[in-house]
Amino acid sequence: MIGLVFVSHSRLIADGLCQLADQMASGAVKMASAGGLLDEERYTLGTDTLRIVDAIERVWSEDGVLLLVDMGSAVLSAEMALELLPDEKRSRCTISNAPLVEGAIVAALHAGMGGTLAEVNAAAEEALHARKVDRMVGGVKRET
Amino acid sequence: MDKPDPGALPAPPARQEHSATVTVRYPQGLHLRASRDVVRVASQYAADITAQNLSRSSEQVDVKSILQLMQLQARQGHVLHLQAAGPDAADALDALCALFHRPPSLSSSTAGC
Repeated sequence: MIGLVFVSHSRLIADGLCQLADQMASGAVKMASAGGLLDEERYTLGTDTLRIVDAIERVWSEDGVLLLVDMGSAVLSAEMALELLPDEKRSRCTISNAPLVEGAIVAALHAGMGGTLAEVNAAAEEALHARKVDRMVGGVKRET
Repeated sequence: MDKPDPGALPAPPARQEHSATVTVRYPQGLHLRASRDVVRVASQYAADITAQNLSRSSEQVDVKSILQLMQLQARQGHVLHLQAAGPDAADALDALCALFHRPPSLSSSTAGC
């Protein structure tokens, strides 16, 4: 079963995602958060490459690890984290294009059902195109 | 559950089609955890399974996708039309109907996350 890593500028967001995603996987999936930056023993906003590496190691299995990230330096730090891994591990890690929250929910569900790394990422990335609200008023679709 | 009239056109055995109508009973509507359970049950079957929210005139969505289930925007009392096609379509719909008919208190819906 693949592992999941959640990377966010905010420690609270990443930790909260672990809680939410764990419920979608009913505890069946290894997941780790790498949120925030440790600055003189206090967490601040930011991303930390070494904490991402550590998170990958904590959830590592031969089936691979899917990283879900928010934006900006989260992407760059995740890329650098993969560069620090040995080749055989790096080749089994994927940084998802999925939006962080929706991607984490979908990925946890499908990882828990035994999906492969590619299958789980494909399901998560469907969130890029998923509408949340229909443009309706009182059950009737607007024309515009 | 509506089942095709067996006396009508003989359908090929590998492509059975069945449909059912269920009412959403969860007080918070078809929320995240309830949808998780729907996806898990539906994914155990080979059949293609779709749902349409008749109360909203929604489009048909794939029941094996939690993202699409969310697009039903199904509130308590909304009526969903389930359709399944495939060799195990009948069993799939039986299982889904049982899930929807289960009292909400037994299907982990209390927080409605």
